[in-house]
Amino acid sequence: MAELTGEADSASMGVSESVEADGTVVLTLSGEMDLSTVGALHEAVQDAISRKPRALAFDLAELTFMDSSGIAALLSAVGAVDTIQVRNPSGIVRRVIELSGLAQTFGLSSAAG
Amino acid sequence: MVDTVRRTRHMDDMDARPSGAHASRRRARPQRLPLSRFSFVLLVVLLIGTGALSWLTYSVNEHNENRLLSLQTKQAATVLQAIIPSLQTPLASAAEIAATSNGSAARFTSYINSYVGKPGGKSSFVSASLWRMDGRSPRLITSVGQVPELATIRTHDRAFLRRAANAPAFDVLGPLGADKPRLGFAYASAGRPTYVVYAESALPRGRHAPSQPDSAFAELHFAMYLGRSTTPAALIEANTDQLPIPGHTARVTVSFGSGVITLVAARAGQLGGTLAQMLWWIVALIGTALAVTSAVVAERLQRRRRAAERLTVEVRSLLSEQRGIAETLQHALLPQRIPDIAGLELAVRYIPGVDGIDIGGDWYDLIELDDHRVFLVVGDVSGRGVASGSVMASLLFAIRGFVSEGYGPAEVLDRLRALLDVGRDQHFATVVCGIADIERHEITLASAGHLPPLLVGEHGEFVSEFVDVPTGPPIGVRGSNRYTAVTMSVPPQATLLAYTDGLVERRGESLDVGLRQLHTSALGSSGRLEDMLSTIVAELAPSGSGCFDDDTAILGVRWQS
Repeated sequence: MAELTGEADSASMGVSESVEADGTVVLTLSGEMDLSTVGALHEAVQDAISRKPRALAFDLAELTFMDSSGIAALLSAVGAVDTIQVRNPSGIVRRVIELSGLAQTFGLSSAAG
Repeated sequence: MVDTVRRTRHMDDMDARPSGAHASRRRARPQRLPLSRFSFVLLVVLLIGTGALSWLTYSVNEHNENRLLSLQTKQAATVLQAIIPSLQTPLASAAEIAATSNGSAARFTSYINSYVGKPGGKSSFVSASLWRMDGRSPRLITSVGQVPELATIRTHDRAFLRRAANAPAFDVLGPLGADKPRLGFAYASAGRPTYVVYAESALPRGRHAPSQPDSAFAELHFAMYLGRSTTPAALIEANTDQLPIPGHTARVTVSFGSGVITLVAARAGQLGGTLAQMLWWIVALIGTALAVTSAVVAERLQRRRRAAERLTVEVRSLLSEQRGIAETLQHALLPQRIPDIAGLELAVRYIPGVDGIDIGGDWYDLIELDDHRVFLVVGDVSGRGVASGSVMASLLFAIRGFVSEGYGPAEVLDRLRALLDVGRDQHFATVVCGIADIERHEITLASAGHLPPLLVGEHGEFVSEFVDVPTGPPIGVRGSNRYTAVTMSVPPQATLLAYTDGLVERRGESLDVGLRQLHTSALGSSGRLEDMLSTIVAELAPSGSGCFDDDTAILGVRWQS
């Protein structure tokens, strides 16, 4: 889409994966997640759920920005794993999650929920 | 230039036609020349350049060759001149001996003998003789070797010997004898009586002698003439049968005793080497190859560019066609008619995103419940394309169904849950819905993960605020709790704005920035609701393009009292 509109992809996002002792796959995201970078998360999620973990967690401590396309990516694991967890969202990211009514779904205690 | 103009016009033509793709193919055919004008001109220019360069190479080589010929001929003449002493010295010495020994035949014979031998041998002469001039007539004293040819021509010998005696110097006569040609030399002693030593050298048979491979004449066709004339009679020796020598020749005259020898030479082969000779051929071949290659490459690049340009135009027209289809479909799904309810002003907008070639998942809906209540919906299905569009359509009609059965906003959302599952359908949807009540001045709202509607108004202490709707998860995401609706009273002439995230979401910008902009823009606008929506769209669209990154739906409800 960026190619079509001629916009430069200024945003960048990093995804790294680790597995905890209880089998939870943790995807740690850093940088900014929008339409131009979200593809990396989609791939990482597909890769993680192909191994059928019981739980999937997203550590968003290092994620500085997220828009609604990020929500779609986080939700792409729904149905494939029993539990989806979001950890350590920053203010902006937490706000997007809360506005989307997903705080409970992602296991975040929410005043807005 | 002409090419560019033609192409531009061509593109304009195509823009004017919706079926541009086919038109371009039909038009392109008559233009199919083997080469474009540019490539042809390039080829001709390069070929002319190649021709000029090979001609230059050729003439430089010719010039060099001629210079080398002239040099080599001079060198050959020098060699020729160096022979003179070897002929002159024995004769001069013999004449001196004859003068001091009073014409002793024995002394003469013993001296000259070593210089005389058989024809074809290494000796300088084939014949030598001593003459004494008795007054004007020469008298033979003795002769060594073969009989002098001179003696066979009576008149000739006397005249020559007389001439030699009178001009005491090395004299040359020749060529003598047709069958076995010879060259005669004479040297006269000083003082009285005058003794003349006469000797003859054999010329090669037919006066033709192949030159030795390593001699100064090896690379030349040459002919030596006695005197300045180059008539066949004056020919001494040549290494070629073609006489006079054709083509470009060099001519050098060298003094030879009392006379001169004229040396005429032409190139037998390539003096400057084969490479120099072949160079213009090489230049021509390489140049032609380069010219043809350049023309072919230029042609190919041009064709590729033309094809790319055609393709761009086709893609553009297809995209606009597709965009048109998507818009048509979207508009067909969205409600065609806005309910007309006394006391309420209603307005809607649907704006496809900048890349709106697909059908979007955003929608709005307005359902008249009775004469003072309207059910409003704004929703957004994740993703784009036909799949999102069909989810959107099914949700839209499901909501209408639930509403017609009398369910309220929260109950409608609860019931939508069963219709969509993100794990199964790959889509989820955020929905905000509610009931606007004119009589009670109330609004009831419920939200499934949707952005909060904005309530705008300026009345008393109320300014404007985002409605704090309890938000449940989006439709399609499982959750244990039921949706809850909130009902709040609305100040007079207030406006409720519900919208999708396309309106406030900007790449790289926090959502709150967009929400704040919406708040400011809505508060600052005045006039009718339609004008308010136009102002908001104009002010929030990135760089005033009137278009958003993503699809955008906006719904406005205004209480007229």
